[in-house]
Amino acid sequence: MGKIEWAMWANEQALASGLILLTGGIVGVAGQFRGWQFAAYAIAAGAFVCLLEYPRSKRTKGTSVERTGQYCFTVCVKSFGPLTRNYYVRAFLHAALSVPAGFLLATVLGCVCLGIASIIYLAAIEVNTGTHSSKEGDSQKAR
Amino acid sequence: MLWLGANTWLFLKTFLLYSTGQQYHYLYKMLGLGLCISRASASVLNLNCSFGAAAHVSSRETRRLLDKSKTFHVACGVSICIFSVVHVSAHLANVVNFSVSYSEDFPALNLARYRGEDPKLIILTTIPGVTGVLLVLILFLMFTSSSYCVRLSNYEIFWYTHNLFIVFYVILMVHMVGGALKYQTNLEGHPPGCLRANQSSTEQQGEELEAGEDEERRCGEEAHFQPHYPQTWLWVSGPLCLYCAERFYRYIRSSDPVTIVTVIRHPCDVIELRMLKKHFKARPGQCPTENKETFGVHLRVVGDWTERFTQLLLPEPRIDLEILPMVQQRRYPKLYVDGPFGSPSEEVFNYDVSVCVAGGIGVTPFACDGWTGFRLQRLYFVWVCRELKSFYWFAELLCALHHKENRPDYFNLKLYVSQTDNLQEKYRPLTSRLLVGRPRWNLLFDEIGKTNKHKRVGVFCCGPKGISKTLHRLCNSARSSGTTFEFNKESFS
Repeated sequence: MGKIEWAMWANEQALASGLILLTGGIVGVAGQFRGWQFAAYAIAAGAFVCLLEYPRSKRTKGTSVERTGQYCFTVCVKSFGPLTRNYYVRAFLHAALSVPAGFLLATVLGCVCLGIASIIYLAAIEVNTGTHSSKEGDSQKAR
Repeated sequence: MLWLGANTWLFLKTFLLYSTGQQYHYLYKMLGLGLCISRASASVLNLNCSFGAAAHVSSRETRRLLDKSKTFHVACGVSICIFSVVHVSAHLANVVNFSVSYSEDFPALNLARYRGEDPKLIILTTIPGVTGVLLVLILFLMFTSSSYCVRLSNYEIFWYTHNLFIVFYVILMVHMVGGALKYQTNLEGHPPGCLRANQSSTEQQGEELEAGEDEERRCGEEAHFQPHYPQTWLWVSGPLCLYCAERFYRYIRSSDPVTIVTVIRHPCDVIELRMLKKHFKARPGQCPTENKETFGVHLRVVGDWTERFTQLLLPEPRIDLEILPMVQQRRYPKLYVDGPFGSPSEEVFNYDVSVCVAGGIGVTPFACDGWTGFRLQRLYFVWVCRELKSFYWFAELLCALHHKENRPDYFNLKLYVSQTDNLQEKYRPLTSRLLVGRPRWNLLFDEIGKTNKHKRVGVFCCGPKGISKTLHRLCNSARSSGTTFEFNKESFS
């Protein structure tokens, strides 16, 4: 279990949660439900999470598979330096972003999913002590 | 195509039932389209969940029936996810409608306790709501861990989360308990829409109404509603029982530990293990050793499990320890082996001509002693490796085969190596057949096609995705020689 790179799974989950949050937000705003402002927030938060999590980081061991067209996203994310590279920051950022989405029915699912992704990031830190950061931009294409 | 057709038909049938069925008239008025979409997607989900469970069964006999089961399983999984999204969205709309359109006329029909009840509260305090949330979370975990990237890098995450499917199915069977959606039982006594007719007839007392119409629409009694009998267990319990029975059978079958006979370390991180098991009967293509009672496996040491396993089998000798007396035997760990499972490679013997393509450790499904007999008249064996040393894994077996059956028209061996190196003189039959660089599949297929005109050639591939994609494409393209190539793929992940 010690060699599992949990951060990779957390990345997949966070990306999926971002999409769910975005969809829920769109539905909430389109339906003009009570509290639709939360839905508008969810659209922004979902888009932000998707942009942050789209670049797949390099694995510590083995070949890494890039996502299509992730280079430009990598450049943007890397420019923030340690703020985006550190997993502690990511975990708490996701936890904080998910809370306001829990107040509206349309976005509550995105909230829970993003919360789970945040927990997995924390697990990644605990289990793989020493790999606190992700290295984007250096990943090679799989053979 | 059959599967797509079944899904479409089921969706449309259920949709129409709920939108036009008389027994759902009042419910439809309350909930609208959300009712039809949610129920239609639920029936499609039932179908795909039962197929998904059936495709999971991997014992030899059933796997042959559900050939290409992995692709089918993935298709079922994706459709479950898509229809779950549809189902959840529609039910969220239903919950809001239950709250907003609370019906005072028919209190039994309501899910909400009062008008304007918070929809989130409705979800969290009803069985369908809570189970629905749990199901979505489990599905989310299973879906995110099934991506190709996660499977490739951390197979354990995929394996352990996918085993949550048992929990998923159990909760699914409980999901319908509680009866949120009800249908009307007394259609004859209370034709839907008659309440309004009663009210309008009292207003228009002076006007003449046709007698027939009036009688038809008068209510005899109050509407009675009954919740649906949970149907999911009918769909899902069959395949689930089959799966549980199969797991139980496999557990019984593999409860005897095997005796480890030999452990050999090969170059390029490969371990060969020869074992003996009671009541083991070799099937065609399953016995790579000369002694028919033993069987062997080749393992490539890549992850933490295989590394630990190798340490237990071949502990490194420590210099500071005294040399142990020869009497003391090496202590091997207790090993249990489960199998055999059906695989496409068994079909090799059912063709007149077969082409087996192996990439690296993918040679293992083809490594056996019994290549003679059956219908097979010609076998082309193409083995592609990165390093020359990898051929040592099966060098003895291949040479033994060559000595036994030195007929180039029957057994045609082609070895390709990506990197050049020195090879020992001991394996001369291999060195003279060695080709450097990646194979040119087009030319190879042309050559095979010319020498086997108008025949059905089975192509079996076990190796990286790149090779199998190229081969699949070549098999599907037409040949001037009239030879048909049928592609069979063995997969590892």
